[in-house]
Amino acid sequence: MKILIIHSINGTIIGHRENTDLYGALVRMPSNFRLMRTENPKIEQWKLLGQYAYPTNIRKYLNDRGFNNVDNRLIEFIVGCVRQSEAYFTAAENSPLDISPLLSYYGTVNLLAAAYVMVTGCKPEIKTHGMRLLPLDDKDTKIADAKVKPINPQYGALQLFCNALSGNCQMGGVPWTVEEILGSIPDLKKIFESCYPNAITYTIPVETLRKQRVIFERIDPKELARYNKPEDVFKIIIGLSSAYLEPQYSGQMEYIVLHRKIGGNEIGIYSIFGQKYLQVAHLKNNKLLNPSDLIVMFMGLFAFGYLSRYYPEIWNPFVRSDETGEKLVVEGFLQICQRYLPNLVLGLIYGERVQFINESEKILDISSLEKTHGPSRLYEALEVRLPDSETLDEY
Amino acid sequence: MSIRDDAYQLCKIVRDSSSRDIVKNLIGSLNRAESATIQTKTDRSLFGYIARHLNAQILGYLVTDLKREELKKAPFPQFVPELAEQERYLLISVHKQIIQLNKECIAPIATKLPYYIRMLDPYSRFQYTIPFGSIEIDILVEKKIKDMAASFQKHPAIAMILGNPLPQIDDSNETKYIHAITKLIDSLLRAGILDAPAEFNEIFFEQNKDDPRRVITRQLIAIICVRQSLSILNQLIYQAILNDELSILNEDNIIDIIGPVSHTAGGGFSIILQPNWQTITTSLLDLVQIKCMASRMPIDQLCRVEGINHSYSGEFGSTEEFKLRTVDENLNPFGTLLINI
Repeated sequence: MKILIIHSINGTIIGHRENTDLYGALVRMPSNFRLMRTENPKIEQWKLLGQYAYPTNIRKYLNDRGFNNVDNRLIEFIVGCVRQSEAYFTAAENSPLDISPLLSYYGTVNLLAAAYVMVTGCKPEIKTHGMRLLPLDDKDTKIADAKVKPINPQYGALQLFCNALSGNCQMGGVPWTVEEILGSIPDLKKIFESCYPNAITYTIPVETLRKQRVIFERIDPKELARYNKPEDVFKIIIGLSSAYLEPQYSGQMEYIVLHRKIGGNEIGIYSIFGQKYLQVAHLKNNKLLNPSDLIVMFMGLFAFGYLSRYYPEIWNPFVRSDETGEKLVVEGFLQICQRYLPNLVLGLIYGERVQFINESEKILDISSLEKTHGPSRLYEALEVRLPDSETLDEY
Repeated sequence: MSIRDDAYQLCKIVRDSSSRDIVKNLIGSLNRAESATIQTKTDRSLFGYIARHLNAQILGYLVTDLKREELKKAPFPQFVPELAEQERYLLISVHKQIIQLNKECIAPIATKLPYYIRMLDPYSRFQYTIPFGSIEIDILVEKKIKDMAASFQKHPAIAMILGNPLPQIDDSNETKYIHAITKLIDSLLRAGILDAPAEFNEIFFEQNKDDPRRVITRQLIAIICVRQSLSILNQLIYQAILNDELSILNEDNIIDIIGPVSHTAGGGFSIILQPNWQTITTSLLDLVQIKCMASRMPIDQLCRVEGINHSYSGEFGSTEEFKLRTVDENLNPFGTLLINI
C-alpha cells in the first residue's frame, strides 16, 4: 500500500511524510505539509494569521507548546504585531511603488517579531534593524547593485530572527548585494534571469517524481548553465550530502537525478505553487550561508524600504522612468513578498509547510487501497490447496 | 561464538593467506576482457561469465573448463579458452580444500549415516569428479578446517538429522529423496524472499507435529538447512578470496527498504539501491551485508541475494532492486523454517 493518507477536516488536507506499506516499510512522502482549500490565498492567510490577533488563541497556542503562565504583555505584543502587520501589508498593497516597500518592510518586521515570540516564548531584544544599506556608488548601474550589510548580531533584528526562525544562520558582517537577494527567491527566478542575464541564481528547481515505491528528484542541467562547473554547485548546497545519495549524471546529461538518503533530512524550499527548489549557499567570509527564503525576503524589503525612504534621489527616477526592466523585478519581488511572506510565517507557526489550493472537494478514491490489501495473508494461506502431484506424500 | 562469527574469522584467515592473491588474480583474469582480445577466441572473460552463472564458486570454473568442448558444439557455439595446467591445478587445489572443509563439517552425519553424504553435498547437482593434480596452497589449512568444522557441527539441523534420521534407503530411494530436496529448495526459492511457499502453510495449518508426512518433511528441511549453510560457508570463502570485504548496503546506496519481512520459512528484504561498482558486480546468490542504522529499525544483517532487477535511465535515474534472504547465525537461510517445522 503506497498512498498518501489524507485527512479532510474542515477543508484542511494534511499530508503526512511517512506511511507504511503492506510489509511495514517506510514509504517516504514529500515534506510535512498542509493543503488548504481557498479561492483567495491572500485573504485566507491573513484570516488564519488573524486568529493570533486574539489573546485566547495565543495563550492556547503557547500553552500547547509548553509556554505556561505567559505574561499578558507578551500576548498583547503578539496581538499588536499581528494587527499592525496586516494593516501595513494592506496599506502596502494599496500604495504606489514610492512607499510600498517601506510599508511591506514594517509589516514584515511586525510579523516576524510575532513569530519570534510564538516560536521561542519570549520577546526579542531588538534595538536595531540589524542591517545597514550601503549606498550605490558611481560604478553601480542598477538598483540590484545596492548592498545590505548585516550588523549588530546581538540586538539587530536580522540576526535575532535568523537565530529563532532560520536555523540559527549566522549572517556575519559581509555585505549582500540586492542582486544576490533577488536571485535567492524561487518565484522570481524567471524574471530575474531575464533581467540580469549574467547573474547567478541561488535556487535550483527540482522536479519530484515517483517510480513505483521510490520518490526521487531530478534537475534539468539547463538550470545549472549559469555556473562555471555545474558539478561544483552541489558542493555548495548545504545538507545535500546528508539528504541525498551521490547525484546521478547520465551520459547524455538528460537529467541529474537525486535519490533521497534513507533517514536523511529533507532540504530545500518551495515556491508559492509548491515547486521545490534547492538553495545554493552564499559564500561570505569563507563560510557558506543559507538563510531561509523568509529572511532573504526580509533583507530585500529592508533594502528597498531604505532606498525609497532615505534615497529618494535614486528611488524616484527608478520608479518613474526605469528603462531596463529592473522595475518589473522589484515589483515582482514585492508582489511575492505580499503574497508569500505571511504564508511562510503561517508555516512557521503551524510547524509545517502551508500550501493553498483552489480545488473543489471530490470523492476520495480508495479502490487502490482495497486492491492492495486484498484478502488477509492468513486467509489466502488457508485457501491454498496443493495440486495432487505437488504434495509431499509421495516422498 | 556462532557459526557465522567463526566463518567470518575463517574468511579473515583466507584473506591473509599467501595463496590468496594468485587465486584472486586468476579468477580476476577469467572475468576481465583485455581490450585487444574482446570477442576473439582468446577472450577469457567468457570463461568467467559462464562460470559465474553456474553459482558454484570455484567449481563453476572447473566445470566450465571441463565442458569447453561441449560448449564449442552448442547450438550457439561458445569458444572458451583453455586453462593452463598450473591454473587448473590451482583451482582444483582450492576446490579440494573447500570440499575437505565440507566433509569435516558433516563428519558426524557421514560416520553414522553415510547415505546422507550426497544429499548434504551442496555441489551434488554437478556430476563432477575432481581430476588429479594439485599444487601446494594455504587458503584453508588443516587446523583452520578442523576449527571451522567443530563450530559447524553445532548446527541445530545436524542434531535434528542425527536425532531422527530418514530410514536407510536404496539407490532409487536416494534419488527420490534428492528429488524431493531439490523440489523443496526450488519451491522455497520460487516463493521469493517475502513469502513462504503455499505448501508450507498447509503443512503448518493442517498437519500436527507428529504427522508422519510432517516428520519426513522436517528431516528433508534439516538436510536442506545443512546443505544451504554449507553452500553459504563456501560462498563466504569464495568472496573472501575475491574481495577484501562483503558488499555493504548502507545509507550511502540504499534508497528504500522493505523489511525485515518474516514468515514461516524465514524472511528477507527488498532493497532499492543506487548502483555503485560493488552492487553492479554483485551476482545472484552472492552474500551481502546490510548495515543501515538510519532505517526505522537499525539493521546489521548478512543476506543472500536472490533477485536482482536493474533499471537504467538517464531520464528517471538508475536503480537496482535486490531481493535478499536473511542468513542467520548458523549461516542458515531457512533457520525460521527449521524451528517452525
